[in-house]
Parts: sequence; C-alpha cells; structure tokens
Amino acid sequence: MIKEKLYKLRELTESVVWVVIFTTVIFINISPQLIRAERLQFVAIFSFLLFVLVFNRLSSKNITALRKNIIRAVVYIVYIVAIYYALRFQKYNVWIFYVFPLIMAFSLSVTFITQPRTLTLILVGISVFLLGDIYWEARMSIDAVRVVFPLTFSKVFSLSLLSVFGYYLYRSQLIATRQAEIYSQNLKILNQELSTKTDELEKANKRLKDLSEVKSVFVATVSHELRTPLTAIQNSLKLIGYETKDNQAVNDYVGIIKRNIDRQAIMIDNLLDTARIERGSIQGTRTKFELNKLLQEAVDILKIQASGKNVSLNLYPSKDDSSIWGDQEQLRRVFINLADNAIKFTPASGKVEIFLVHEDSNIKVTIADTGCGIRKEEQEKIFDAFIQAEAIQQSNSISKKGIGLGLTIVREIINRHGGKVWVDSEVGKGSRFHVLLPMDLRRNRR
Amino acid sequence: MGKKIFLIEDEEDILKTLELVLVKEGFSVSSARDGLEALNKLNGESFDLVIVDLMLPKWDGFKLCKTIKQHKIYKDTPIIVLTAMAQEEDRTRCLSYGVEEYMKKPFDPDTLLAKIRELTERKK
Repeated sequence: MIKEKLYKLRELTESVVWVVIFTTVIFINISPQLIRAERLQFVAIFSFLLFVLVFNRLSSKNITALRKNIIRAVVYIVYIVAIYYALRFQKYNVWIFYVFPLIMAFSLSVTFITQPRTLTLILVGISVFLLGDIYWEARMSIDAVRVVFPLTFSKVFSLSLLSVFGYYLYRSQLIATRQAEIYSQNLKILNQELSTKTDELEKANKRLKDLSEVKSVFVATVSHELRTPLTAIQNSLKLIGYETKDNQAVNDYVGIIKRNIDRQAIMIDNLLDTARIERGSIQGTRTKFELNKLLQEAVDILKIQASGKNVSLNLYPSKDDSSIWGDQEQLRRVFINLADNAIKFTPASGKVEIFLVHEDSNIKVTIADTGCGIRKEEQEKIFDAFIQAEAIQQSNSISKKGIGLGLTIVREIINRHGGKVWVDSEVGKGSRFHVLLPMDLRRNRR
Repeated sequence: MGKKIFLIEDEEDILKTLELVLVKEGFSVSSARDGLEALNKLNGESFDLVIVDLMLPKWDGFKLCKTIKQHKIYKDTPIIVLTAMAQEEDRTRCLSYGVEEYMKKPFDPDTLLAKIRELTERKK
C-alpha cells in the first residue's frame, strides 16, 4: 500500500516537473521583449500543453494500453498541428516552420504508440529546445536590436533545461527500477506465502479426505462388529428353543429377543446407509428382479415383529409382471424401513397392508397402516434428516419412539432410482406411504 | 446319515452355536476357523454343502469361494455365504463366482436351515 502511494507521488511529481519546465521555457521565450499577440499565442500553446499533460494522466486510468497510446498520439498530433498553425499565422516564411512540426508530429506519434514514456520525454525536450531557438530566430528577423544576447541565452537556457530534464528522466527511471525491484521482491514473498498456503490447504484437504476415509472404514467396521454378536445371539436363541420346546413363557421371551435383534439389524443397516449418503456414495448394482418377491421377503422379515405386537401384516401383490431394474438390497431396505415404521406406529390389533399396483409405466407400492397418523405440517419434514426428526419427536403427535434415519434413507434411495416417495395421512386414522418406481429403471439411472 | 456340511467361520461363538444348531437338525458338521485350514480340509474330504464367512484370516472368503467354484471336483458343491459385510458389491461379486446363496448377518437360523435343505436336496 505504501509502495503504491509512493509510486503515485512520483507520477504526480513528474507532472509537476513537466508543467514547471514548459512554463519556464515558454515564459522565458515570451519575455518582455515579445509583442502582445505573440505572448497570447504562447499562453495558448502553454495551456494546451497543460491540457495534454492532464489528459495524459487521466487517460492512463481504466483504458487499455493500446487505446491509451492511440489517444495520446492523436492528442500530440493535434498539439503539433496547433503549433504549426500558430507559427504559420506568424507569417515567417522560414522552411523549418513547416518541416520541423511535421517531423515532430511523425516521430511523436510513432514513439507514443511504441514507447510512450522515455523517448517521448527526450523528443519533447529536443522540441522545446528547438522551438525556443526558432522563436528567437523569428524574432531576430523582426527586431535586429535584440539579437545577440537573447539568442545565446535561449540556447544556454534550453540546454540547461534539457540537462535537468535528462537528470529527471534518469532519476525517474532509477526510481522505477527500484520500484520494480521492490515489487518483484514483494511478489516473491507473496508467492512464497501463497505456495505455503496452497501446501497447507492441500494438506488439510488430504487430511479431510483421509478422515472421511477413516470414517467410512470405521462405520463399516462398526456395523460389522455390531452384526457379529447378533448372529451368535440368534443362533443361541435357536438352541434355547430346542431345550424349551414346551415352555411357553420362555418361548415368549425368546420371541421378544428375536424381534429386537431384527430391529437392531435394521438400525445397523440404516447407520451404514446414512454414512454412505453423507459421503454421497450410495451407489448400487442394478439387477432385474420381481418386486412382488422382494416385498414378500420384507414381509417375512417383519412378520415376527408384527405378530409380536399383534398387528396384522399383509401383502397384496400385483397380479401382473412386477419385475423392475434396481438395486435389490437398497430397495429391500426401503420397504423394510417403511413397513417397520408402519408396524412401530400402529397400536395392537391394528393392521398394516402393502399394496402393489401398476400405474402407467410405473409401479406404485403403498404401505398403509392404522396407526396414529402424521399431522399435515409434519408430513414433508419427516423425510428430512436428523434435526427435523428431533423436532417432530418433541411435538407429540407421533409417539416418542420417534422416526429414525429410516425415511431419509428411503427418500435418498428412491430418488436415486428415479422414483418418488410421499405420504398422505390423517391424524388418528393412519398413514399411507406411497412409493412410485418407474418400471424401466435403467433409463433413470443416475 | 445326515448331509455333511463344511462350516468356515472365524468367530468362535457363531461357529459353536451354528454347529450345534446344525447338529441338532441332523447334519454332520466339519469346521474350519480360517481360509487355509479350510483349504487343507477340503483336500481330504468331500461335503454336501459349504457355509463360509467372507472375512476370514489368512485366505478370505472371496478367494475361497472362487477356488471352490473353479475346482473340478468341488465346483458343484453348493456354497452359502454368511457375512456381516452388507454391501451390494460383495453380494454381486460372490454371485459372480457362482455362489448359491448370500446371507447377511444376523440371519434367521430357520431361514438358513430352509436354504440348506433346499440346496442339499436339489443336489441329489
């Protein structure tokens, strides 16, 4: 920031120096010996020059380099032409009056297009020097009395001005070089900082990736570890069953344990799926299968639970061909989740029914229960994850058992199959969850 | 004489309980606790059905299934995979080897028994 200010200050100084130089040159040239008309002309030229300078400064902002240089060239040509006419107006028929401005115009325009800075300054310096000379010579022819001294003076003065000019030029170049050095040094430092930052960012990114990898491995391991003991428990229950064939009480207890194992298994599946959805990697393998059969499997898995709660669970399969393309494992989970919820929220001696119907090129599965129902304002929310589920739990239209991650997973899986899931429900009467799946899921593959 | 079932499982409790259930149901059971042991046993005996876990020490279940299904003597022996890895990819991979049944842990012992009977009967 400070460097930039310095740079601006330098530019300003440059302008001031320009103005001072031109003013001095012109006012020396139009010293008291000049007639009034001449003096006015010089003032006019001087003001034009001033305008050019200011214009130069202004135009250097916000305009592309090429256009800027073209504008400069045009401005300077106008300036030279103006001088030319000013001289012609004097009616001093000296050849240099015609030739010199043309050369000036040409060289200035060329240099301004290619090298706006250094060469221009030199050219302007030379032209100032020559102009001074020309004017003295011109005046000499009018007024022979004031010949010798002013001519010498003019030349000496113009030369000294030129050397000041040259020095200034050298200085400004020097400053510019230093400035450039400082800039490049700063740039180097910035670059280093940037590359350090990039490295850090890359490291952080990698760490995040590793973490998410660790997390998914962790979740997979956890679900594996959770499943294994359940298996041993289940086998043991089977063994207990052999020993207590006639003991109704023990059999009932075994039934309760079995039901809870099933529920736990569903929850483990949900946990794994949630982790996968979070990672965005719940991709599956598509195969062709009978939806009727899949629903029957789901019903088989849940029937112990339903009968344990004294809820009737019935499937009404489609009579037509119910084969679809999809991820069997995931869709099984969808219907297990929906039916499991239905059983969970249906009181004893209620019923849960699953219908499968064809609708155009889609298959619609409806899971209807006679449970507590879901309030209208909650019907959309229940498909959203975690937070909403908690909010719904707090409001008490749904029993405090709450809705787990199940419905979020259901919607995610159905969406991925190009399908749709929604609910219609009446509080106190029950809910109907509908799943619409396109028959040819290959076309909707995502 | 009951059907001979080869059970490969590294979890001691699952192995023990499942073995007992199978014996109770009238099968004769031989068991192995890791993949290499399983390979050794397979060399000497023949079985009516193989039940295998996927995550096994030394020689995993996938390789075991593949080996059995490519072997000229054993390739017709039905295999039931029992696994706690619930990914669909694993299922597809197993089925591509020619595995007859893929069951996720925890499984219902009755379902497993039904499947075993179905597969061993079919072979006859």
